[in-house]
Amino acid sequence: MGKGQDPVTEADLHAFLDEEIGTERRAKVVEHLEQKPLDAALVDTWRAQSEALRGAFARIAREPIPLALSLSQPLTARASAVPINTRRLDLVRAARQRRVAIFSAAAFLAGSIAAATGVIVVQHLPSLFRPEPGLSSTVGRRVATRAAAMYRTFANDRTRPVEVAAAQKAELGRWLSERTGLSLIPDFSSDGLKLIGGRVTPGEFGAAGFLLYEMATGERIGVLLERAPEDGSADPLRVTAGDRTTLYGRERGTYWAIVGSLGDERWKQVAQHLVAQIRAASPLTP
Amino acid sequence: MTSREAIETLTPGLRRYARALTGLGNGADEIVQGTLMRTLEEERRWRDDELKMRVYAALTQMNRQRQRAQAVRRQGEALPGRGAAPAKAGSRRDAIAKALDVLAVEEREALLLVALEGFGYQEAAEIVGAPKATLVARLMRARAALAAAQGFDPRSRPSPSPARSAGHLRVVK
Repeated sequence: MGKGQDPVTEADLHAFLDEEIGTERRAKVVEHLEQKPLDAALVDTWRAQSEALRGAFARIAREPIPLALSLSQPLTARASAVPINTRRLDLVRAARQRRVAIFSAAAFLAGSIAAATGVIVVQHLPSLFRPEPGLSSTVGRRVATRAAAMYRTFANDRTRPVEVAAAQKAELGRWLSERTGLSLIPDFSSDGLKLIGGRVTPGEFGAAGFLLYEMATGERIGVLLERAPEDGSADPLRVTAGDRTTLYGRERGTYWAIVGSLGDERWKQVAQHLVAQIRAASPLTP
Repeated sequence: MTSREAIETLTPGLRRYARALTGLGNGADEIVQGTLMRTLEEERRWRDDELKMRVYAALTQMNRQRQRAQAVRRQGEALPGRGAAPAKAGSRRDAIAKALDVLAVEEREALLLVALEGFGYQEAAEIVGAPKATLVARLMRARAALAAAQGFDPRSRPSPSPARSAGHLRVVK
C-alpha cells in the first residue's frame, strides 16, 4: 500500500502513544515521526501531559483511604447493611450548598440525638455534611503520630501512667479545661472501657489532653484531644502499625485520636461514641 | 477475594480518577462513596472481570449527574465561582488540574481514563458508553486543548491544513 493512500493520521499518533496500534502500523508511525519532527514534538507534548497527570494525582492513590470509604471495615455495621441512597446524597449536598444553616441545624440535630440517646451515629453523616475536604490533613496526621508516641510512652508505665487519676475526675476536668479549652472527658463505660486518668501534654497549637482507658482484660486505650484554632470536621482515618491502631479525625474543631489494640467492632463503637461526645460538648456556634 | 474486598482494592484508583475528574478537591470522595454504595447494592450482578469497568462507569455517570446539577444550580442562583475553595495543592498539581478545567467533561473522562488510569481505548469507550471512535476523538480534542491551555498550541505549527474540525480525524502531513 503506498504512502499516499494510507497516510499516518493524528489518530495514529495517539494510538502510537497509547500503545493501541498494531506492529505494522507502528513501524509506519515510527518512520513518519523520524521524518516529521513537529509531529514527533506533538507526541512528546502529549506524553509529557500524561506523565504530568500521573505525577500530579499519584499522591491521592497513596493516601490512606478515608474510613467512610472503607468497605471491609465500615465504621458502623449499619453502613454496609443500609447502603447510602445516592438520591438522598444529592439532596443533602444541594441543601448544604444552598443553605449553610440547614447543614448546621441538621448536623447539630444528628449530634444531639446521638448524644442524647446513645444511638450509634450513622457514619455517613459526617461525610455528607462535611464542610471541607480535610482528608489528608497533615495536622491530623501529626496529631495521630503524637498520640501514638504518648501511648508508647505512658500506656504501660508501671509507676505513673497518668498524672491525675480517675478518682480525681473533677480535678482532671478542671485542669484539662483550663489548659486545653476542652472540658470533655469522654466516657466509654458502655464500651467496657474504664477511665484510668489523664494528663496535659504538648499539642500542635497549644496544650492537648491525653486520657487513658482500660478494658477488663487489662488492655489500654489512649485518647488524645486537642482544640484547633478553627472549627471544622474531617472524616476519621486509620493508621495501623503492628497490632496497634491509631484512629484520628477532627470534629467541630477538635482533633481527636484513639490509640491501642481493639477489634474492628470495638473501634467503630468507641470512635462513634467519641465523636458523638465531642459534638455534644461543642455545639455549633450560630 | 470477596466482591467487597475487590471493590476496595479499586478505591485508591477511583479516588484518583474522581479527584482529577471533579477538579480541585470538590466533593470527589462523595462521588466515590456514592459509586461504592451503588456498586455494593448491585454486587451480586458483577462478574469479577467486569467489576473494575463497572465501578469506573458508575463513577463517570455519577460525576456527569453532579456536573449537570451544578450547572443548573449555577444558572438558577448565579453562585460566585465554583463553590468551595480549591484544596491546597502543589503548584504542579494546581497547574495541571487548572488546565483540566478547560476540558469538556467528556474530554476529561477520555483523557483521564486513558492517560491517568491506563485503560485501553475499547475499555475506556465502554466505560463512558460511547463508540471507540468517539472516545478517540474526545481524547484527541482533550490533548489538543490541554496543550493549548499549557501554551503549546498545536495550531501554531506549520501545517497545510490548519483548520481543525473538532471530532474528525485529521490527516497529519
